[in-house]
Amino acid sequence: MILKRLEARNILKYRQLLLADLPAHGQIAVAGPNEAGKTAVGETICLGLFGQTFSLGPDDLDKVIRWGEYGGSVTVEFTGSDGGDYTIVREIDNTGKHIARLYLSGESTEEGPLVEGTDAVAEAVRELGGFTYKSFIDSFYLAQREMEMPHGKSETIKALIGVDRLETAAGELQAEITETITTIGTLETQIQDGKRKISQINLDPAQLGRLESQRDANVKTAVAAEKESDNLSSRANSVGKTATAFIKAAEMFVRSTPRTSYEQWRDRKQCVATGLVAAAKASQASGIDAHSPALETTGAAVQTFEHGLAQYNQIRNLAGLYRQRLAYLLDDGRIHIPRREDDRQPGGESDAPFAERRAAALMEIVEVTRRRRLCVGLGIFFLELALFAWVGWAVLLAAPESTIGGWLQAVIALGETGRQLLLLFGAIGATTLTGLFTAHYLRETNEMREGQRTLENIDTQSQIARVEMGVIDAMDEAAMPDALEALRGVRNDLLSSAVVSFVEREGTVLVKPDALAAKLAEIREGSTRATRSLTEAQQRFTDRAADLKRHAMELQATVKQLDEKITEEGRRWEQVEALERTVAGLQAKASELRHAIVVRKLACELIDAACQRIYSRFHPELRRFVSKLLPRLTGDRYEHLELDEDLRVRVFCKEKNDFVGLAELSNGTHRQLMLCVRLALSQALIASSSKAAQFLFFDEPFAFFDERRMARAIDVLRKISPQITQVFLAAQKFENPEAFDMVLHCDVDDNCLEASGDGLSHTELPTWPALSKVG
Amino acid sequence: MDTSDDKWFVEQFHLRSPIEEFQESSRLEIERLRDRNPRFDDSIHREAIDLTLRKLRPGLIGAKR
Repeated sequence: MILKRLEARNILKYRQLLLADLPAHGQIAVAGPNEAGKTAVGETICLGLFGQTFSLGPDDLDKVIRWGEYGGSVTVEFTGSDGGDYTIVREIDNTGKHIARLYLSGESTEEGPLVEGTDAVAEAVRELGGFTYKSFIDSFYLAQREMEMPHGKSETIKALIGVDRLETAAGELQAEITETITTIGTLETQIQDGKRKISQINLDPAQLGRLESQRDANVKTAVAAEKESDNLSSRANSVGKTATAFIKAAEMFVRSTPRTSYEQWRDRKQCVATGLVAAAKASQASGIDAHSPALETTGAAVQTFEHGLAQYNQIRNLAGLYRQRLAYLLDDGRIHIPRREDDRQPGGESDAPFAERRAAALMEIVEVTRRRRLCVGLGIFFLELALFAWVGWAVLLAAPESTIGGWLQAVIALGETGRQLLLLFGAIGATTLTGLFTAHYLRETNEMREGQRTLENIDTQSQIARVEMGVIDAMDEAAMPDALEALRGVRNDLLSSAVVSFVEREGTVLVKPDALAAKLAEIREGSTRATRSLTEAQQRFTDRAADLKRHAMELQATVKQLDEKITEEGRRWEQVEALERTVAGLQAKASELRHAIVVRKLACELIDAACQRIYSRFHPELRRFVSKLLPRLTGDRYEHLELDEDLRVRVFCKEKNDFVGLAELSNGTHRQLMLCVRLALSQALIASSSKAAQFLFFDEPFAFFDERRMARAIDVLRKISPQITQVFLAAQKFENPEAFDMVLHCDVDDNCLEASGDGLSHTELPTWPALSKVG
Repeated sequence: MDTSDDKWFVEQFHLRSPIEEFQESSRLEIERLRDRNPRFDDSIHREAIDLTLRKLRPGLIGAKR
């Protein structure tokens, strides 16, 4: 730390104190008689930096205010160990109230202080200067007092060489260890408490698994039982339905009579056949023999009917074909079914539809009628012509001179004979033609009548065909004997013979009452017995399903109880797990804290080793430093000295040829030796802290020095260290003041002191290689 | 003042800051332990050193600036 400027107002002796542009490298003399204010300069520096003076503690600050004033201030600007310039401003009133601020020099105060408050500023000074008030007082600041040798491991020495910081850190670590041990004790208590709770729960690790296995097994069994029960219920229901359907179909079937129509037979047969198959399947599924006599009997009987109906179905097919043929002839169908040779009518009846044949017949009748009319016309014409010719011939023969004769002679320009012959032959010819046309007329009349008969025949056939179609159409709905009787009468020999054959053979069971009743009785008996078996099977299924349902419900009740136990066990598990997690967390925390203790104990050991190392290095260094400096100050009278661990000093006196203690030295020599130690301690503090340039303020250090010793001491101070560059020396008188870089003249009667240096370095600070090579 | 090279009649005081002394002392301790046991694990020592250095390093003005 190098001082750059000091300004004070109403502090101690001075109403106004201003020291500006202090040289950073050089010696500054503070000269003046007693009570001139030399010590006040040093005390003001001390007050500016630390808020207290050597003489007055922080509780006596009201006494630093100049007598009669209400308050004062100190401003000290300095260069810190980091190279930055800082300014401390302190304002003190006459009640001792104290305000302190630290600014960064050169910045506007509007920016605000870097730190504010006495404690904060003191800590900032320690950081920027590398020393506390105590270490400052014992090293860089020599007050006007009796110099004493500090104890080897005193607080001063510890502060000077930095051991105090290490011990403070060790103390903090030790306090943390103590606190951590207490915390671990608390954690151990909590851990034991958690373990005790876990033990009280008395959890069986396998119990939950057992309960879950039992539950799963019961659930599985219950589900299987319920499924089997549902299956059996379904089967019972199915068997019941099958039995009901079968007996219903059988009852319907056995109600059949010879008057039953084909459709009814077909439907009933289908129902009973389906029911029979279902009953057979149900019987097989129910463990009943599918080939039981009841089903066999019923099946055989039903098969008889099936065979009969199959044969009847063939008749239906023939009837269907014949109906298609009839529909074609009636022009009701669209498909031409050529008539089979067997179906051809006697006389080679046309194969055309009735409508076409009727139209052709009608056309023929019309044509014949036209021709007949023509024959009538021509016959009448030739008859009239024949009558005229016969009358004219007769007139010519009988009365040629009559009017008619005359007219004929006039018309016929022939001779008389010619006229008579003409009329005769004409009459004969006309009469002949009349006869021909009359014969033709009669023949056409016969043809017309034949055509009309043909037409009537076609209409009759058409009506018969419609009747037959009606018979065929109604054969499925009609009673089977009626349908067969009707089919037997159709004009189709194949169909008729098939009907006759059916009635006498396969259709017997369908149309003969005795045969029908016998077969139906078989079916009735067989179906009743089969249905009874199925009903019994249904009851067995139902009973078994009920048993299984009951069993499943019992299992579900057991599962519910197991679920409650599992929930309770799970809750106990959760409690144990939560406790175990807590215990594990506490153990981890305790382990962590134990590790922290180990680390801190090790840190304390390392700190202790570092302190021992510092002490072991400090004492030889101090002895070496003093041994080098002492001959310079004493004119080589004292060269060697001994320093024990408590810093007790003995010097080698050449005159006595032995080491002597401090008590045996003169006051001047004693102060020289103490000045050496003080300078050594200052250098030690610099070495252990900032290593930066530092100022000294020594107040009356040469009080018992003669002029020669004083001159030698001043010279020694000039060359003492590359770091101690700014040295304030206070004395009543300096023999050679011009040798100083700045001189402050203090006057007893003047309460103002203002001085200004050039602020420059008066010596270049050399590079100090040892700084980076020490150790 | 005299600016000659040999003006400093006292060698530099061979003391270092407590942080430097602590670091050096700790380093030597770790080396000593490693010499005795090449597989020595210095992690706890590193942790203790870091912890101590955090307590030793000031930071008020540095942090402010």
